[in-house]
Amino acid sequence: MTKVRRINRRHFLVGAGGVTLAIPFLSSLEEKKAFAGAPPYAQNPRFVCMATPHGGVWNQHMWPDEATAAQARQVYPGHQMHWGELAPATSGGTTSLSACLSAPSTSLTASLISKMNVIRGLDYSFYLGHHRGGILGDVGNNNDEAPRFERVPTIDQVMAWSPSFYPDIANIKLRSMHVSRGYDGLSSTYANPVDKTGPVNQIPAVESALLLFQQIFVPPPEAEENPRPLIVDKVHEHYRRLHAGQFGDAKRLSSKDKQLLEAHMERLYELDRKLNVTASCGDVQPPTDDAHIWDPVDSIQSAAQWFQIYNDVIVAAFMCGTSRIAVIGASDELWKAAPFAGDWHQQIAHVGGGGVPINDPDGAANRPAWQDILVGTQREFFANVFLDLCNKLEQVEESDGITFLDNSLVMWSQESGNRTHDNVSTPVITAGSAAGFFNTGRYLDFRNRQNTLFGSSAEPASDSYRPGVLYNQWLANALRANNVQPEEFERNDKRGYGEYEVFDLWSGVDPYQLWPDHLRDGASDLLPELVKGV
Amino acid sequence: MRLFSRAGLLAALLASGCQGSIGDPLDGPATGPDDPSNPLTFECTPGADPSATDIKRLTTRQYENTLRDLLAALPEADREAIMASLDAPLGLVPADVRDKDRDYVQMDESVSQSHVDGYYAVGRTFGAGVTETSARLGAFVGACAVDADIGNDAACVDAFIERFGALAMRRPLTADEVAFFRDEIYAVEGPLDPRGVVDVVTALLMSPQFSFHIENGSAPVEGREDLYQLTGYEIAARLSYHFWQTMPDAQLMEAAANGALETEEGFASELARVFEDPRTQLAVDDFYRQWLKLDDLPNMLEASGLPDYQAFAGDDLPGPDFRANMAADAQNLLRYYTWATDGGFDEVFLSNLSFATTPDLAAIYGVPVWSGEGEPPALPEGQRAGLLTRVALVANNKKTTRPIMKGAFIRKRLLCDPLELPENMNNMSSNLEVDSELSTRQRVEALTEQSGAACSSCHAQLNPLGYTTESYDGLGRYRTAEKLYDAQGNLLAEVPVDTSAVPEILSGDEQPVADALELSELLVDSGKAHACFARHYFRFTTGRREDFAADGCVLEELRRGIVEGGSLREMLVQIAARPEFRLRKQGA
Repeated sequence: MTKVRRINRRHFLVGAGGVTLAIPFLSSLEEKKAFAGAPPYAQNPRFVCMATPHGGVWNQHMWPDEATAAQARQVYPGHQMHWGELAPATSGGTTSLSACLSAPSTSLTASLISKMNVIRGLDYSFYLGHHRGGILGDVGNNNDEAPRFERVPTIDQVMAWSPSFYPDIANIKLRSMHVSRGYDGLSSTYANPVDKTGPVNQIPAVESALLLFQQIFVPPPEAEENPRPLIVDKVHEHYRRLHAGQFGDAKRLSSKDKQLLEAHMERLYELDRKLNVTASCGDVQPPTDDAHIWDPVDSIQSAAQWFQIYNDVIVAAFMCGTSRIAVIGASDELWKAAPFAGDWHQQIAHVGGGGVPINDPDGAANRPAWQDILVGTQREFFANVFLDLCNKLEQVEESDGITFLDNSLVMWSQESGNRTHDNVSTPVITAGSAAGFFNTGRYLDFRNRQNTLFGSSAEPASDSYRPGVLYNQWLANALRANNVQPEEFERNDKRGYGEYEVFDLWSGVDPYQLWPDHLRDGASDLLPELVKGV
Repeated sequence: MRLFSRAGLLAALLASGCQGSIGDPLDGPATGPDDPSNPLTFECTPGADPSATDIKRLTTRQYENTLRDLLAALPEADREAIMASLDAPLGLVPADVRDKDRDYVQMDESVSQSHVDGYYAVGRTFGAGVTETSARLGAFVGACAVDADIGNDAACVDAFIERFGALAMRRPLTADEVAFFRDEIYAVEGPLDPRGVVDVVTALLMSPQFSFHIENGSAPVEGREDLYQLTGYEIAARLSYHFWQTMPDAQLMEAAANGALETEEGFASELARVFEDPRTQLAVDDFYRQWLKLDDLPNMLEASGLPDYQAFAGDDLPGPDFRANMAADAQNLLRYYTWATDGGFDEVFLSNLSFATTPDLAAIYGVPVWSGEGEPPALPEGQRAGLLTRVALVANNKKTTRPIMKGAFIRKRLLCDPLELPENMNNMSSNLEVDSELSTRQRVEALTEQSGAACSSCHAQLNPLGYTTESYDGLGRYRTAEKLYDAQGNLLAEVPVDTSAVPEILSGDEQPVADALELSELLVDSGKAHACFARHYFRFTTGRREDFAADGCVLEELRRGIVEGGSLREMLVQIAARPEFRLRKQGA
């Protein structure tokens, strides 16, 4: 693939549906200092999280050949991890790391694979069921009838409101971008993220790609005679006077009411800040079409086009320098190759995903075929959305030999592991080194293969069903890769990010033997062989 | 048919509401709480405080309706053009969330950056719209804004700020506020500047006083500092936003201004007027739609291209409107018993009439299409009774039914029973070999109800309720046997359906039912659905979950009205007639 050289000072991204984004090279980026790696990595990485529901891709379909991870390394006492270089196989124009991680060789190139990681053995240490927030650390955002977990901000929002991630927000128009089709609510934050107060709520996805573009785009300034000052601060002043009782109002607010209104008004400062952003997007042109031109999304092609328009906007935002975070959720059902007459959730996601009783004769007979359908949906998402964005970021060189992808951490995860509702080995696929922070091109298997406590009745031994490290540690590593350090993200004197109290839902197996205390104690530590120099 | 005079009803409601001393449970088959967390009756403690009222954000529906009403001064074509221009900025305002914690969008308390960004974009676009032409400016701000006399512009702006400010804030602005908006925001000396008008409009539409329901009240209840009467303007807003989902009209504002809303007579008069306004029916539709989750009905075209589904559906293969039609069918039933007949809650569950106004649904029911007026046609004898048997509540987009999900809906939504997460979810597996030619019920029984299976305890609460409607297939057609097809659409077998069950509506009740018709009767007799319905309407009205202690009087009055066979209309209006409707308890 030919990269766009910065000497051209201009880059055209040809996206979905004929959308063309003319994106200039931003000279300001040349001045950035290296962070984790040698110069000229960008000082501050970008973060993208993609997520698909269900998961349930069986081990043999999800992961590379186990022999790939032939090298061993102790990660905790009595706990060795294994790793090795990713070894793709190519046949008939398709390159594969596994059945699920397969795509046309033109997309899944050797170069791109060298910048990816496949990470296995990241576990939630409790039954989680269906959830939206767990992938980014808010496990309380799940389908429980009775809350079991405190709601906490997701890591993208920890970054979005962190001065470590955004040390200079003068050019940031949108702290984070949120795109969803069928898998909403992946991100959450406080009602008042500045003060970290108020209830933790889901962040809504943007309604259209054009709206998203308008939110990250800074049009050339228009000359206006006697321009009027912005009035946002005046709105705040009016509220302040109301609050102070100057207008005879607001004297009977409860603390909860005040908190809600303060949270709302605090957002005015952010709006005011964004309205004053003067960064230039140069020649970037708005997309000519919105993603909704592909509605109804009823085929893989239309789903791909829908998401690829958003990918274009995300790349534009990164190149404009007006946002550095994106979160994308996509229903797995969008990616089915053919209509399915049965019950998708029950049959494909649960029986095909292998998380519920399989003794139903229909289920038993159809389970492999339904698993194939499920694998196919995740594979199509991987090929059409994950790789699409990675390749677009890889096309643009940010500094000598360093692409936008190099300076990013793009991750894709699924709701569950090997079986739908399974909290063990939730897949994490990454691309980009987070500005030189991560090693790449590796299959990293953090399972403790010696820990055979999982009963064979729960899963055949051949599935190599073994506990690994805590998913919380992955979240901590993602945060640290993005310059947010433990003292900023650890909560309630717990290491790692988010909730990991063990809830004894694994009948017959002591969860503290599956996930010993040293995993919790080390949950903020950098993961060996993933992080450079560790 | 009208069973009561409107004035008489309101007088009675207001009288009973003011007593605040309802405490005796009605006699009935359910004599006590089934579960403390899900009582059959509510205890009213005379004189008890209402629970605290938190500030709420306008729902997106309320927000959009209010924007439209704020344009009332403009000709219709201009209103429509401006509303069309608001489509894009309104896209920035997040949709209200309804989820497991929030039964109704009115309960969504979230605030986000998108809200504020959206409100700003809406304000700018709205302002640009009303000042785009001289004609619009003149209509919106006043003729003085566009006449040749620039000497009147300052007064013109003041008058506009007072008038539009009162509409946006839903109360008159103070003199200080008028001065603030004139001097600090409009800030123009000399001829009227439309850009200043845009700024004033934007600032007012961004004010939390516009986008939130903020109530400061008037006089405290004697001896209390945290409990006070609402002002007339606040009462006007409660009435209009509850029954119309929009801002008060001019008559309500006038009744607020002249103090009428703070008198019993004046309030009753306005309540009657507001309730009889056609907009109330739209708001009640909104309640019913959210109560039955009609927005969540499945895409009925999902499987329509597949041979097995086509074989299953036959001539009833759903078209693109089927989903909307089945939602409308359920809505029609509720509308009929609410507005056309002054019907009661029980009739909703026992009716043998068809409300299908489209050929596809009428064919499913086997009846003529109903015109929407007059007496609806009767359903075939012995096949259906009331809401539980309507297509919207039994159909899905599969060739099979989903008894578990149907049962869960009745258990949770119609009976308000909580469902706890079962333990050992990961280890749930069945070792039973089952035959391939089983009915859906038999299959579900085999997989979830084995003796000692971890999943059986939970499914015992769900499955029997769902089994009773197994006499309706995945399209809602009545059947006595279930047809089993292979993937190619070949008929494999026809197996009888079994709709008998012990639904255990009340905990420990072992009374069996033969089918959904008997279930409906049992449900009506139990009183449990009545109490649950009262709780749901309370949530829709107040935007919060009920507190049994503090809200017991309101809930019990609602429940008694339903149980005693009062009309749904009566129940819908009586919540506003309660004294609590005009009070605000300040939270801590």
